[in-house]
Amino acid sequence: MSHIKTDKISARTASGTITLGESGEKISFVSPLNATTQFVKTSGNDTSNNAFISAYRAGDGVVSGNRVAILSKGDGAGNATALRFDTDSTERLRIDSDGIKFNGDTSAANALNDYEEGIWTPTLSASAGSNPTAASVSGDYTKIGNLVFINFSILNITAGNDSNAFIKVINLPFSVDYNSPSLAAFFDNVTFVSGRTMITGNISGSDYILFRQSGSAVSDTALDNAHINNGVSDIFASGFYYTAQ
Amino acid sequence: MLTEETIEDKIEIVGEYKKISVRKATIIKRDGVEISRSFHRHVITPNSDISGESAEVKAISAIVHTQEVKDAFAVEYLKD
Repeated sequence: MSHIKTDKISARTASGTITLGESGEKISFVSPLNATTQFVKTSGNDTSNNAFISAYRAGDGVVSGNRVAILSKGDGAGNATALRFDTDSTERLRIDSDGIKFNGDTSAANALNDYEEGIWTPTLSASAGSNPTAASVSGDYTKIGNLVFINFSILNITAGNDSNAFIKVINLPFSVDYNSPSLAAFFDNVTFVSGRTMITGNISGSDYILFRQSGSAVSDTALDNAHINNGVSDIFASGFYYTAQ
Repeated sequence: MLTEETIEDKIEIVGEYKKISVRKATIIKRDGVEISRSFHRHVITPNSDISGESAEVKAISAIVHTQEVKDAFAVEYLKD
């Protein structure tokens, strides 16, 4: 392969078509680059509303830290411009102000707009009397769009013996959008009410989890303080719920 | 040198009952450059105990969790 080496190749005017900067890594197809921070530009300039795509590196006031940003600006008529990725003339992926959309979809409701991982602190509460306590708790979450997946454990629970005090788990990582009976729970060392054989978690729209005991041909009943065997009862649970956040 | 700090990097007010969603970020830096950031989240409802919250969150709660909001949420809470 042949190489042409030169200190600088540039258009004669500021609106020239191609510029190679002094260090050789800068290319402008239409108009001048910001000398220190912008190293790819396809059209327009960074102060107008013309549609364009630019790549920036740190130090331009737009990008902080050691990273590169690709920016898409409006069309000059106040309309946001999406970044699109096509193959064979078919749109496969679009990124716009709603989030990420697939296969030509433009609906805001179908945009994937968030992903986050973290931890939360499951906390026991009772519907009456004093709150139960636990020797240790742990919880983590993964949020994908409007779904929050949670996983948690609460070990060595101590509660009062009040059968009117339903046990709740509060302090969820995201606000609950609406009720969802979607939590699978495994309990160690709790006492079942007669006729009940399984416990599932009911995630309330008021941001807590209530555990319901159910069985064949009987109505369900909430897990209460009297069902806990003090000092040895454990809860292990995982599931998901919807959030409006 | 490694340093660690925890900040409330996101505080959001969510929905009809003005629930306050708080994200705490634990940031680890080496020689001033961030090398790790992890999150802890919780939600404060109008009936939550806020005694352990930051002054900023308490101030927000004092504004948005009015008695009217607390009463409305209490009705919804009992329904669930």
